[in-house]
Amino acid sequence: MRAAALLPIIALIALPAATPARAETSATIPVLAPLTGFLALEGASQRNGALLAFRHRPAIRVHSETVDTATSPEQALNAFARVLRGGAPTAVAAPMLGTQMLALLPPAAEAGVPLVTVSGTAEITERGSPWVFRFFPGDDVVKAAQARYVVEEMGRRRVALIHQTTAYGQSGRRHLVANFERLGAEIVFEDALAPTLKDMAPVLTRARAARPDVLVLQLHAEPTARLVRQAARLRLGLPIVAGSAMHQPATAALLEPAELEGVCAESGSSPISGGSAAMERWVADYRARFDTEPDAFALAQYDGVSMVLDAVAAGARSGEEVRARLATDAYEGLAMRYRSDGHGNMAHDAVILCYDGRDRTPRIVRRYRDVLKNG
Amino acid sequence: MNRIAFWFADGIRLPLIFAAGALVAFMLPLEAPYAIRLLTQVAIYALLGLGYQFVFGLAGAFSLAQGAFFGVGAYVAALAALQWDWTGNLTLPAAVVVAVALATIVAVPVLRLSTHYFALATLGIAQVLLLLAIGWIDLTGGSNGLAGIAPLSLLGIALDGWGGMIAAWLLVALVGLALYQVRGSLTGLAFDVMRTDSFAAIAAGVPVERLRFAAFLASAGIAGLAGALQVHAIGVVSPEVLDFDIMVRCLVICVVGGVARTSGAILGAFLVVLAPELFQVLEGYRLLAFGALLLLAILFFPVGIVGSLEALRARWLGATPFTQKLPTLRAPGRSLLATTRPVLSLERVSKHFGGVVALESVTLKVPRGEIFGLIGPNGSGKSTLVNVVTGLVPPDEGRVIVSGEDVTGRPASRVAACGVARTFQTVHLHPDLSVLDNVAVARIGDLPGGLFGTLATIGADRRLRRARAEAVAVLDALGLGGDGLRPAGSLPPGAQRRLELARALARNPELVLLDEPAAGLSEPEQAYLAERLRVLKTRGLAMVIVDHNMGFLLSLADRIACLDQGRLVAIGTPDQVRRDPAVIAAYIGLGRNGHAAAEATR
Repeated sequence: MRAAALLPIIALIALPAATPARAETSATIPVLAPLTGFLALEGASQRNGALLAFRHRPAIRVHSETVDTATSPEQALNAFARVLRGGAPTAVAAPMLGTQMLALLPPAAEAGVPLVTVSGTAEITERGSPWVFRFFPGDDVVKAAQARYVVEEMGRRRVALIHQTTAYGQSGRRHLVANFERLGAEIVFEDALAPTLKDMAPVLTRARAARPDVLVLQLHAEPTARLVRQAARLRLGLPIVAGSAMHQPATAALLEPAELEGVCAESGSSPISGGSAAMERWVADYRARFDTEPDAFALAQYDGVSMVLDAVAAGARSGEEVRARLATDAYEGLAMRYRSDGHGNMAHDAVILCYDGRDRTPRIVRRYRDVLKNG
Repeated sequence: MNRIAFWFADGIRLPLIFAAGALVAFMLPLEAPYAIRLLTQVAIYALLGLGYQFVFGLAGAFSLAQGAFFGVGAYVAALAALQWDWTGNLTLPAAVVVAVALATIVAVPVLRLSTHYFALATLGIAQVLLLLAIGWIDLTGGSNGLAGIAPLSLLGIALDGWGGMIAAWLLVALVGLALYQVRGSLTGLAFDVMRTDSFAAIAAGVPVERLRFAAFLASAGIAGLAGALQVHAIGVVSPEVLDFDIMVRCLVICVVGGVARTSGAILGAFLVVLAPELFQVLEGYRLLAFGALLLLAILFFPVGIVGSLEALRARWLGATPFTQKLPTLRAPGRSLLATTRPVLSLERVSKHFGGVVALESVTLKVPRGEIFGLIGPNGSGKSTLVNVVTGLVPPDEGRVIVSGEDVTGRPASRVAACGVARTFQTVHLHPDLSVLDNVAVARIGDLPGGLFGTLATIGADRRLRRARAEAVAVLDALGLGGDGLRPAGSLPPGAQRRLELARALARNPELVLLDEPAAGLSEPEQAYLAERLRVLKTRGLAMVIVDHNMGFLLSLADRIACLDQGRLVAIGTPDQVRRDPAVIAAYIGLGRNGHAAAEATR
């Protein structure tokens, strides 16, 4: 492990013994997250991750305000304007909804505020804005890993692809289709579902009729749980490789362990799967503070905000100075090593995790590092 | 002092707008960029709500497509801005034009429906558009939407921030004044009657379909404009703009603010935009708090905030005095020239309701200047016949000819336009409107202008003033001149029947159909009514009178027809019909006691 990687871990280990020291530096980092609406679960993770990062850096006095952006671009803009009231913040933990991020790019550039997001969808880093930094691997990364796992590790080539009609579903679908085509797998069935659809039996029945050898999902948390449960009841006998929603402990909590047997998912990370003492300590601290299980979004937001705080600790004060550091520095986070690809994409690794049917804790079965470079 | 109080209270809408202005003045210096953004949003939603006031507030049509037209405007502006680099000079008009064009297309099938069927159909339109926005990825960008739309620019002036906010509020002022103008006009009066009692509107000759259509288009166009402003304000468009959430906000704006009120829409917009922002400190619970606030608002202000304030004003200060001095104007009468051509001809008219025969091959003629009585036992088809003639019910067979024109199957408003007026068995009036305005509204057919004509007028509506003046003359003729300013619902039953007749006569008809005009009237009232009807007859008016009161009808009618189980069993002078065995049989039963029956009908 590189020396730089030890820094946050040492800080974390030393945390319980740390006495609240007099803050030497300060930063303003508002948290804009969808706390209401269909992304409330993920938004809460995002907020918690940011708040935990503040807590773990007592040496920096952080002025923060949490603002709900719900799920519309208009409310994200209102929230951004709200946090500009006291002057431009050092950085903003920005919402994870792609359409909200797209709306925030111009005002962030105008105000000179770096946006630290865990949004994986939409082309937010492809619009030439130097002010956006994505700390969750984009769909180009995680969908490549998902498709590669299906084809290369599982040896499946007849894919039934079921995705959501939302931005998350459409963006993931686009990347999955391209990757399966590149890998020589055939999509024998495809359907787009509205998030409100309750009965998954019809779509599963139609999928089975196409005789696939794997079910690939790109659904939000609750629809993923509904479909996995229905698939178990129908005894489809097909392996399921789901999107990142399936890695969330809240999704697994909706299902019985037996229903999860053989179900895999892609993600940027899986904190509850452990993997290191630092990760386990972080998970324990998260549970103690928020009384809930952490997911990859919380961890990615934690890492993103921690990198900003690192920059502040290193002397960056203005938005421009923080932006410059985020754009050029590397950061060894808990989930992975982050470094901008020149467009603000900071996360380049992905994991595949699977449930064994005994409990609701997934095991990481494959880690893909620097997916696009090693593709 | 009292006058000043009345002036202030009467213009309650204006003080509310001033209050909103004060709020703006309070917010702006404190937190300019944030306040500007919020106030721009308020303006956009106020515009959306003002548009919805036309179809929902004025026309009373529960459209659930307003959010969809907002979304259409947003997408049109976004696509035009991105594909062709259009600025607000063209994107705003394009959004309005496309939204109106779409509304025109969907109006044809949808506006035929009413109540919940109309609501469901409009919801269906919204859903189709939402699915198109999600699925037509090449055009709309799918669920990710389109980004990079430039801020509003008009006439070469970039209107970001302050400029955008002022432009949005200017549009609100313009549309708000238009709504205010319509509400205070003869067309507004027609909308009011139409919303309250569609039968009363039809009887008054209000062109219901045309007004609904115009209101639907106006709503759609204004929603499209609001959508275009929205897309320039936030720079992106995604299917959220077509989401039902927008429609819900629109409903909240109008219902909580105040239905059909300009200030209601503005206050409602302030509420839906600012309240969730004020509750931001509650984080995940803010929508719960907002929901509770809305619930309280609906509980404490059941007719909307503005409606409740107006009710309070009325309670504290009394009704606003009607100070307008109206001349008595006699409406230019329809030319009722002597002619041998019948005013009404029914040729083999039949109407069945399932297996029930309501009318069976009825043929009759009513010439000008005749009082034609129609009798028959309950369920014999009398009211159905009146409904068929006035277009409320289309016949299954046969022809209905009014003054030589075949009106078979035409909607009621178009039959009314041919000079047919009516009253109802159960009185249909707008109880809260004044007696004067219940009659004035019936002048709408002879004082054309419509919704868009009204919008072109600035200031007090001359048509309304003229309609009221002409209504005074009609009320005087029926002995209701002294009651003109009373609410119609406060009149005694007999006077209400006369008021219905006054409304029918105000339409200057050639033919009037009176359904049970003497029901519930005292003897002197019956005598007075009969005398007025005889006067009308001398002027050449043809009348068909349905009544069970034989004494009243036999002494009044020139001819009488008797219906039994939908068939015309007798027709002739009152004496002939009174002695007709078929009539006696219809009323009492054949062969049991014909003599007694004959006596009974005397």
